[in-house]
Amino acid sequence: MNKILLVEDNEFNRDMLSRRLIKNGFDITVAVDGVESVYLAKSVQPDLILMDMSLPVMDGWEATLRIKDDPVTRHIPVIALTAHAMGQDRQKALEAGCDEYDTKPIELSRLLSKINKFLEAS
Amino acid sequence: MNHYFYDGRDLSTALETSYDASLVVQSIAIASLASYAALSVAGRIRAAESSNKRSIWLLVGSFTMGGGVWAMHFIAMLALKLPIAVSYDVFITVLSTVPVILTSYVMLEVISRPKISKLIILASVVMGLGIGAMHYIGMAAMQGISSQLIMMFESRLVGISVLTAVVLSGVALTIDFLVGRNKKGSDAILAKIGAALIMGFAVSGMHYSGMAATYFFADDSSPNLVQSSLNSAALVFWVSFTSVLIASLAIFITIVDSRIQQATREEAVSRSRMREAIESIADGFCLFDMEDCLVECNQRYREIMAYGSPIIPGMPFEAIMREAAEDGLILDADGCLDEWLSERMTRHRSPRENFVEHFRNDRWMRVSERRVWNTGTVAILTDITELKQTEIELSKAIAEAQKARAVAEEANSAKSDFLANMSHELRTPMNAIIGYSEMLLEDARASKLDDTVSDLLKIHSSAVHLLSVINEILDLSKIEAGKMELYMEEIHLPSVISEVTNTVQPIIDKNVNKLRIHCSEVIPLIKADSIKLRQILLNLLSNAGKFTHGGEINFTVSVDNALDDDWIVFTVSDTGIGMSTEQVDKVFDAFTQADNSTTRKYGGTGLGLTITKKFCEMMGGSISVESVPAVGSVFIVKLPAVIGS
Repeated sequence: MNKILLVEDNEFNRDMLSRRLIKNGFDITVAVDGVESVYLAKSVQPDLILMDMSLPVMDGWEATLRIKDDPVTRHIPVIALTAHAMGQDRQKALEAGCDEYDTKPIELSRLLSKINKFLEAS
Repeated sequence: MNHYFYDGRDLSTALETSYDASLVVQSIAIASLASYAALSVAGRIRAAESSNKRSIWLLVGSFTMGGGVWAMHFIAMLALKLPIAVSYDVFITVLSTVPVILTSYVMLEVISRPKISKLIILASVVMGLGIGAMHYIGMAAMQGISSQLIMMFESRLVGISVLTAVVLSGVALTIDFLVGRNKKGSDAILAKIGAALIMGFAVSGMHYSGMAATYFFADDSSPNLVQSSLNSAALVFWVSFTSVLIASLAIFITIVDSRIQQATREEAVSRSRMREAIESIADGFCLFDMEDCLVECNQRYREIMAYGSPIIPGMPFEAIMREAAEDGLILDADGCLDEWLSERMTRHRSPRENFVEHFRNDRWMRVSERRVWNTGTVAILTDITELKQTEIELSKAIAEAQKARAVAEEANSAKSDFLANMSHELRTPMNAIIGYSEMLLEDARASKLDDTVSDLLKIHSSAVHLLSVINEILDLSKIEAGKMELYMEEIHLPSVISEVTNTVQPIIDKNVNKLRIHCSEVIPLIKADSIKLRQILLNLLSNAGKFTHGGEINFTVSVDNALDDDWIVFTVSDTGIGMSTEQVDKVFDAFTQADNSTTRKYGGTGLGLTITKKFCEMMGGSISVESVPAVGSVFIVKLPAVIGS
């Protein structure tokens, strides 16, 4: 079972998305802020990270930079999720080291195809 | 010696007289030279600036003229050859000069007046009489040595001789008056020479005609043919020499005086010109000498430096500055007079560059001081108050503009932050609503709860619609705020076309329409922002689907290289409800659908086409529309192709 680390600060979205992903056969670990995500990425060693960008304590860009900077977690694909539909968000996410990008609201089928693309590749 | 008028005695007994011709010429020359000297002196008398000078010149002139006339007479007497020895009474000879000196004085006094036209007659008469008096008194000094000499005068001829003197004097003075005074340079000198010659003839003419009126007799009727015992050659020399010397000296000093006066006058003219020039300077001007005392300044400088007491030449620079500062004229010196003064003096002593001083009443002066070698210091004060005020206003305006810009930038950045936050804050709950409704839909479908599924679908579609409304409002806000950014890239069109048509297919199908896609075989790359290009095409195609029922929608992608640039042309035509001309005119305006009822019937925010048009223009393209009600609409989008692709 593929392990996904879902980083999301909004309680309802975290609950909704994790339940739908579990339903689709993934093992979900959740983090509520950037600091926790960096810690869990290291300790849980997930197969993929879904990273919300607007996070308290440490934002998603900073967290991604740390994860991609650490040789222990560098290989883990990161898909950025953001409610900001501004062009610069996508650019910033890719610059921070995110491997893929998707906007909220989540379109589940689209997100699943992006997730599976990385998991099949590994 | 007896003298009386001719008594009609036998003229054959008169002594024979003859003249030494060269002495006659010499006598005329001396008379003319003396006249020339006297006329020159008259010019100086006229030009004399003071009465003292005038009196001195009058004396010089009358002695020169009187002496000249006397010398002429004396030499003429020596030119006379009589068969008896004669001598001259010294006292009478000297006395004979008195009337001619006096009349010369009167003549010069008269002709040196500014207006003399009628007085010339008086001057001529006086002069003529003076010459006559001199002659006949001089004649009276003559006496025989060995025998009694008798002189008899022919009265008619005596009158003629005096008349000759009067008339010729008149002619000479008239020439001098008419020509000599009105002409300049060589003409004046020629006139003066002419007048002097005539005057010379007046004197000598009188003498020789007077001599012609004189008969000499010896009382013993036995002429003693002894020559005059006088050493006549030596006398001639000394008398001529002295009179020529006096006349020449007089001429010489008149020339010198005239030159000096002219030079003085020229200097005065150039000085007054300089003054006028200095006064005409619009700025304050002053000159200080090597001892740093004021030499000259103009009225403007006095006005600028008006601190109560007058500024007078000779005042030291430091005193002027100190008094001005103490008076409170120079604001820079307020409260620190001594330091200011010492600094000011340093600047003054070695001026380098211009500086500005702040004066009372908020006046500003630019001070420019220059050292002039071997002369002193020149200073110019220019009132730059207006300039300074403009400068102050300008810097105030700049500060205000900067402040306004900072406020605007802050507001703009606040707007930008607000948009980003709103985007996030609105989408996050929408994400939850849509996500949970989808989850519930899956569960309800699995449990076959059809009523619930139907209601959940309403929630879901409402949420999706609300999300699109939010997106469009945020997009338009970003465009209006200038915050919409473009990510231009070269895009491979076929994949975009298939993606867009797949996405829009459900909307096309919903109203039982057919979508036909026409695509040129060779489509070049397009340079565009891919997200916005998709948005444009989706918007046009979904509009066509929404407003057409059971019809046909044609989506054509072609290349237009008719013009210089290559364009990719996207055409979306439908067979839908179409639009009237008024509707077409407003179709790209914000918040305007064809009419309010369409919003209720077809949904949408009325922002789709507004955003579409903005995106087309942002990417360097255009959009146009043609429509006929109940027939259909055609939307044409042109975007630049990548040349050479």
